[in-house]
Amino acid sequence: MNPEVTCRELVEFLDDYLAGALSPERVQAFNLHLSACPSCVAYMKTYDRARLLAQQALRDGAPVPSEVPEELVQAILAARDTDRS
Amino acid sequence: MPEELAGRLRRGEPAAFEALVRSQAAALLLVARQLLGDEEQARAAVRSGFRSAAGRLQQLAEQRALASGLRTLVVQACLAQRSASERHDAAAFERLLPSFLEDGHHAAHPADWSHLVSGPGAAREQREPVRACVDRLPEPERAALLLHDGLGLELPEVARALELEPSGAKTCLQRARQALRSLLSERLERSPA
Repeated sequence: MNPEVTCRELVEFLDDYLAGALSPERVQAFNLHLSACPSCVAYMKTYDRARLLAQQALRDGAPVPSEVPEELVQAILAARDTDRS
Repeated sequence: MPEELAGRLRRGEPAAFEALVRSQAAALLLVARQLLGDEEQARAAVRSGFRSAAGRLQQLAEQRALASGLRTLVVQACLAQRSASERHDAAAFERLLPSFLEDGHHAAHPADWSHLVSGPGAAREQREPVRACVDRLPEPERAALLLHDGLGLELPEVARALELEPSGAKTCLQRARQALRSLLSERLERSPA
């Protein structure tokens, strides 16, 4: 186990590691830790999978509104007029 | 947000409010639908957001923060609706986050279930279970995940919408993903391989 990086640190900076946002030195230290730590490898693989599944599940279900429902526009305008009077 | 409309709002033109509603309400409704999952509640949140904004449109226009300001108000209205109807157990949520020994090692070896959900149809098969797991997250973690991963907002935009510091939004998103990983682990470790 690489003493430079703990499992806690790897988990804490995992998003940055997966996004390629860490310095080359830090990446090297993380890679060294991962080469000796099956727990962190399992954690990273499942964290990354959960992240991707969330993106796929949440993005493809979002409806794209083509226009604003007219009754909503009128309700907003009516509420504004009520507040002004 | 067209600069021409922002200029009309800065000058206080009465008709500009309706133009603003017509140009922004669809995008805001999409945000509210994502956060609330219910059409009537989503419309109520959008109404509430515009109502809150009505008194300070000139100020928001002068700050060139109309679109993000409106989104923040709608997101806050959504969160208020959620907090009024749901209560989450903070201790239960903490148990979904990774735990470590004093020396910084994992307290327990995490099971690797990634191979169970990596096939070509996995995203489609897991869509509903994943959405159900996301719905079990507390706020603002759930909202951070929906705004970032669902609507594709960048972290600074998520932070503004949730009225958090950027570092707070990043932590929120990370905690949401950590908890989601644990919820999926519970589910998949029970399933036959």
